[in-house]
Amino acid sequence: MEKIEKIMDREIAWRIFAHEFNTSNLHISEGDERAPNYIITPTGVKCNRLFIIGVITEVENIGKDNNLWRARIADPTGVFTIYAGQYQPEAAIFLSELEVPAYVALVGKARKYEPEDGNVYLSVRPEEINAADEKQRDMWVIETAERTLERIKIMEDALDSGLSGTQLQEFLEKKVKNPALINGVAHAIKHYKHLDRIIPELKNSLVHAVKTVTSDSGIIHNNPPEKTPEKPGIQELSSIKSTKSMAQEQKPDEADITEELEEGKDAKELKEIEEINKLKEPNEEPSKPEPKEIIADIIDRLDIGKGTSFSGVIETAQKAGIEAEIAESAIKELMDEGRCYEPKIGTLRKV
Amino acid sequence: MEIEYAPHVEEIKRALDNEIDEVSIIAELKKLLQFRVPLSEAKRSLIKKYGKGEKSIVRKLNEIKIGDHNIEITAEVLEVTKKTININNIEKTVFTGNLRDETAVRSFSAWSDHDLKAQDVINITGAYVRNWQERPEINLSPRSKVTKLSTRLNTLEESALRKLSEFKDGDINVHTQFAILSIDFHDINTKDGTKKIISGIIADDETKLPFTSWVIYPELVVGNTVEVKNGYVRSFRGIPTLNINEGSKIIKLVQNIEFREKVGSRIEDLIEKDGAYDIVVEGNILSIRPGSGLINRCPKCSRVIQKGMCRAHGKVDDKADMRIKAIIDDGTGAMTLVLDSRLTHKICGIGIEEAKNLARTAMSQKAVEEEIKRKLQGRRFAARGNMSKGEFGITLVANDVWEPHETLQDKAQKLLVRIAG
Repeated sequence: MEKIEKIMDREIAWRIFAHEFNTSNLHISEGDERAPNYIITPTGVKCNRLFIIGVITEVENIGKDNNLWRARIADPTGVFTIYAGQYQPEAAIFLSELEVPAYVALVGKARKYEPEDGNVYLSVRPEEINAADEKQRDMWVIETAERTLERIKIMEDALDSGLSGTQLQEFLEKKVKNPALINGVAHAIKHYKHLDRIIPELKNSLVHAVKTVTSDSGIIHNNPPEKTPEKPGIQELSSIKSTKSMAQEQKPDEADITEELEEGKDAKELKEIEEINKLKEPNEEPSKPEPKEIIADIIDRLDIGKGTSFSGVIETAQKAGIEAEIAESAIKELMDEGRCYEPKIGTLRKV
Repeated sequence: MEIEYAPHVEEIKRALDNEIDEVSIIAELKKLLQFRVPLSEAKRSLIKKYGKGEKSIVRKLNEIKIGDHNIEITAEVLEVTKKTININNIEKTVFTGNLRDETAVRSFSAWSDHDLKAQDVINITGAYVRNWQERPEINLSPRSKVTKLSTRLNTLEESALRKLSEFKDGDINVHTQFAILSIDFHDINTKDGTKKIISGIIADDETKLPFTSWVIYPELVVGNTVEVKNGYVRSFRGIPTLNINEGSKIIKLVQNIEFREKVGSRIEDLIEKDGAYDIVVEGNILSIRPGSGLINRCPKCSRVIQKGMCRAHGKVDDKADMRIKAIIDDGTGAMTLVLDSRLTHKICGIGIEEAKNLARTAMSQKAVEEEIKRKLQGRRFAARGNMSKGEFGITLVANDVWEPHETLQDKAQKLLVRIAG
C-alpha cells in the first residue's frame, strides 16, 4: 500500500532554514529533463518549492544588460542566495528597486549550480516576492523551527528503528502523511553519513533561531549562557565556523563574518553593534586591509600578462595568513566587481 | 472458406443466444469482410444489429468507474426526485436519486421515471457511468432495461459506531452519534407531488456536517443528541452529507455531545478528507492566481465572462465583481482559497468602485490583481469555509477571513522546551 504522490496537487512550499538548506548536498531528479529537480536536505525534505521570510542584505546586478540579479536573504541561521533573471521579471524588478536591508517574503524553487570545479552551489529562484515585516519574519522563524523539529523527530525515530528498505518505508508510512517526505527521509538516511553529527547541529541552529525571536537585542547566547562575554558575538562565531566547516563544499560564496552576525537584527541595531565592535577592538579588522585587497595585490603581482593559476593565488594568500575559504570568496568578489576574471577554469587574470 | 468463418459465427451466435439463423450471419459477415472491415468490428456490428446489444457486465456499486458502459446492477432505490431542467430553452424532466446495494450508495439519473419508487429493488441492464461532480453517477439510457424484483436486499448487520470525520461519499450502513445544530424543512418534487424533507447541520465533538433526512423523524430537533443506524453518505457540492431515510433507525440519546471547534488544524490533515464543512485553515498566501481582482460576470448565470460575451447567454451587460483565488500553504499542505468581493474588501480594503478606479487609472484590469498581490502575498491568514476536492484541486470557499492573532513569545518558549526535550 505505497502512498503515491499526486502530481495534480500543488507542491507544498517547505519551511527550511538556510543552514539546513546550505548543508544539503544530495540532488535527485525524477524522469526526464522537464521533471522537477529536488534537493534532499538532512531532515529528509524533498525540496523543490520553498517559502522564506528573511532579510535581504545585499542585491547585486551580475548580468549584462541588467538582466541577472543576485541577492542574499538572511535568516537567523544563515543566508540563502537567490538569482532572478529574465524569466523572473517581476522578482528582478522588485530586487532592483529594493533598499537593503529589507524584510521580504519569497516563494521560490531550489536550484543547484555545478560549475566544473566540482563545487555545488545551491540557490533559490524566485516565483513570488513581496515586502514583509519583522512580525511576519518572526512568525516564519517559529513556524520553520516547528516544522524542522517535527522532521528531526521523524528522522531520529527512523534512525533509532535501525530499519532500511521496505521496512523503513512501512515504518515511515505509519508516521508521516506526506509521501514526498517519506521518500526524502529514506533518501537522506541513505546519503547523509554523519546524521549523528548533523542533527545536533540542526537542533542548535533551531535553538538559536527561536531565541532571536525571544531576545531583545538580536545577539543570542547559546546554552550555557556565558557571563557577559567580552566580545559580543565571539561565541556565535565559533559555532558558525563549525557548522560552516561541515557545509563548506556547498556554500555558494563564503559569507564574511560580520554578515553572518547580522542575522535577525534590524539595520539600526546592526550599526550600533558594529560601532561597539569598533570601539572594543580598535586594533582588529577595521585597520587591517581587507582580504579582498590583499588578494587583488597578489593577483596583480602574479599575473605577468598571461594570467595566473587560481590555486597559486590561494597558496600565496594562505602564506599571507588568509584562509583558503576567505581567499576564494574574495576572488569571487573581485570577479563580481569586474576587477579580475577567469578566462578559463583555474586561471585568473587581472583587468 | 466457410470453415474459416465457423468459429466466428459460433461466437456471434453464442452472444445472441442462438436466436438467429446461421445463413444470414455468414452472408453478412462475408459482406463486411469483403469491405475489409476488421473482423472484430464486423462481429461487434452484427451482434449489435441482431442482438439487444452486448450483454451487460454485472457490477457492484463500489466497483463502478466513470466511463463504464453497458453495466448491470441490482440495487435498492433509496429515493427519487423529479427535476425540470432547461437545455437550449427546451424544458426536460429528469429523475434523479440514489441507489444502494450491499457495497455502496451511488446517485443515478434517468430521462424517464421507469416507475421507480423508494425501496424498490431493481435490476438494471445497459446502464452507463458518467462523471457527476467528480463522482461516478449511474445513467439509464433509452436502451436500459429496468426490472423490479420481488426479493429484498440482504439486511446488513449493524456496523460499528463511526465519527463524522470518517464519512466518505458512497458509505452505506453508517452508524453514528451526533448533536443537531440546526434544521430546515424543504419541499421536494417527486412524481407523486411534493414531499417534505429535513436538512440541516449536525456535529459530533470535533466535526460538523450537513445532513438530509428523507423522513420527518420527530427525534430530529435542534438540541437533541441522537444515534443513527443504517444511514448513508452522499457528497453534496463536494462535502460529505449524512442521509437518513425510511430504512434508518434513529434513537434519542440522554447524554449530550458537545461540539468543540478544533483550532490549529494542519492542512495535510484537512486535505486527506474528501471534503469538509465549516472548517478553519491557517497558512501563508503564497500565490495570487490569475483571474483574481476585478472580474465580470454574466447577470443571468454568474459565469465569469470576457468582453461581455457569455458562453450560455451570448452578449450580455456584464456585472463587475471582485474575487481572490489564492494558494494558502502552511508548510504541511496547500489548497486554493477563494474569497468573494466582501472578503476581498475586508482584507485588502478595496471595494468594487475603488477597484474600477484603479483599473481605469492604470488602464488595465490587471492593476487590481497586482494591488491585491502586493497586499497579501506572503502574509499569514486564517479562513473559515467549506473545503471540497474537484477538477481544479482542493478548494476552500471562505465565508470569513482574518489575520490570526499570534502568540509569538508563548510559542517560542514552548518550542524551546520541545527542542530540549
